[in-house]
Amino acid sequence: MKLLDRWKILLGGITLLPVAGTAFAQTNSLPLADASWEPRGNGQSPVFADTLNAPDAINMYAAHSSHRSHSSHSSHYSGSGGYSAPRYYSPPPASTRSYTAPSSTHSSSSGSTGSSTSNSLYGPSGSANNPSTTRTRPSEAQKNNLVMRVQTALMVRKYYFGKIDGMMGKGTRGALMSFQMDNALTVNGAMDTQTLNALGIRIP
Amino acid sequence: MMLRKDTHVEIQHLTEPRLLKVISLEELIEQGTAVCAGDVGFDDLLLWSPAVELQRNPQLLSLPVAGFLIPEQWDGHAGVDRLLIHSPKDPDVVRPGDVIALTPGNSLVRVLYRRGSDSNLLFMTDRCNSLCLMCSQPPKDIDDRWHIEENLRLIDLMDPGEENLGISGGEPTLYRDGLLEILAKCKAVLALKSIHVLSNGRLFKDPDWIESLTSIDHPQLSWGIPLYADNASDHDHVVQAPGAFSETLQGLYNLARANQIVEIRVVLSQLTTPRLPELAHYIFRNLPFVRHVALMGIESTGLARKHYEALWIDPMDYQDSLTQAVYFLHNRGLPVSLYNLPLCLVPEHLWRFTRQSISDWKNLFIDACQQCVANKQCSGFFKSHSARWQSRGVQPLSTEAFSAYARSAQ
Repeated sequence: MKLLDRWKILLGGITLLPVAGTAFAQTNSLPLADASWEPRGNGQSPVFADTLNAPDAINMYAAHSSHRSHSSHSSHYSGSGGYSAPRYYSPPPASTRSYTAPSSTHSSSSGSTGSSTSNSLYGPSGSANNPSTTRTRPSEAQKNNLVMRVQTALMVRKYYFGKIDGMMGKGTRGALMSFQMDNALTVNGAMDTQTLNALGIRIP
Repeated sequence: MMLRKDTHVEIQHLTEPRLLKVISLEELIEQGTAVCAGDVGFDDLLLWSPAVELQRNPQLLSLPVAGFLIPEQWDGHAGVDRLLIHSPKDPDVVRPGDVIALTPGNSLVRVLYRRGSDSNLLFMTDRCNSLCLMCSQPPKDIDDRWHIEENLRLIDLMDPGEENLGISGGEPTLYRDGLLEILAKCKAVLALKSIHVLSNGRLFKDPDWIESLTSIDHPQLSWGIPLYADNASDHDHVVQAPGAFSETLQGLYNLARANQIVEIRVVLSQLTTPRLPELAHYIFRNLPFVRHVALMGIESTGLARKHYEALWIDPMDYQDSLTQAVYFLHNRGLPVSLYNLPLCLVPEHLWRFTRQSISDWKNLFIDACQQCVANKQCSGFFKSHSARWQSRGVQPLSTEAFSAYARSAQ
């Protein structure tokens, strides 16, 4: 390093002092871009390391134990009065829905270029293949999704051999009870918090 | 190090263009659709599943996900009419957590979001109202508003976690309503992600932006605005647009009025380096709200290649003006960074200002770097690097020379 360079660094430290007390005193001395150049491993995005669901987590799905007698029904909402539509969990922020409606300027111009309309560009966000989402109650699709995850987890553990269809039928409930028995859980055939934790399922 | 953002695959039963979230079986069980930040269904998920996993659990094929991705060479037969993607040419390109775009009749799968990367980008448009001599991505005069819808959907499918997300083009402000919609959605759906928008700032001269940006009130939004000279004629020449200097300055003041976080970006070339100290002085005196100044090595691609004669200057030949500009700003409390400049081309006393700034998917190290001890700290080069754009100063650093880096970084 040249003598001149050393002098510049030294001067840099000294000349910072007069800045204190000026408008620039509030300026963060670290570069804005700090986070973007800090080397980050190829690791996953942050995930909570604690248990999946807290013991006092609100689990409206646990209420399905009262449904045993109706296990052959295709819908959970049929028959029994023991189940009320869950109110505590809600679909992801409703505000996101409003963004699927393009402003008139977008749609008119995309139409003029001959490209497909915005809504069909990448297909519907729901699931055309999934008959369960055709129901009007948003909670129904969510519940079906949870049942499918339970079925998948039971399948991986060789408790469930049926179709993964999101229906809490006889086969699924039976598999759930076998799993609960083998894992010393309360045997109730319900998707209670204990059982979901044991299956590695986070409540949506 | 460099991982491409696309690769060829075998695709079966794809009937329409799709944006899909790649998900592993473990994640599907643990988190379900909550792995995505926004409002999605099972039909937006592509199950990433090695062939043995599918063989072991054939029931998986009854899952009402959009389809299945077998991340290895595979010549089996699924036996069902489900979307199936297999045999990727490069199996590392698409991984669980990523969001990919698929088009019927095209075997290329594009990664639009890569989990854990800080180089993810919402690409807004190929259009631009400037025509910078060193533009790395020459603008196209097309109507490509479909990017707006694609980006709005992409936001839903991203991981919700903390990451940096860029918005770029082209000139993103050309689609004013779309950009504002995207910024509002980023705030609502990706609340943990910090957003950095690259814009030439010219359209912000319209004061209507103040109200719009103030009402969005995004907590982690910053703007990277280029300024290439302390005078109009030099700046307007670089961006090839008369009046641009004046518009950008009015835009910068409007951004300040809207309480936005502003970074000034300067691409270093034969045209910008002679008056770099004057530019630093100008920024300090006239733009006191600027939070960060990035002085950036040139990317030798796009229009830059065409204007080689006008632009090229060996970084070894602008070290003096660079040093003056950096210390002028640094001594006055304005954070400065040097982007895209390998350590061997920067005087030792400026090493602490250098950043590893090149996006991971286009960042590489050349042959001369193989013997260098500073690979972990150095910006390296752009994918587009070529012999014509190589400084005479490129050399491997020795352990002794590099120990100075450790000292200066303290």
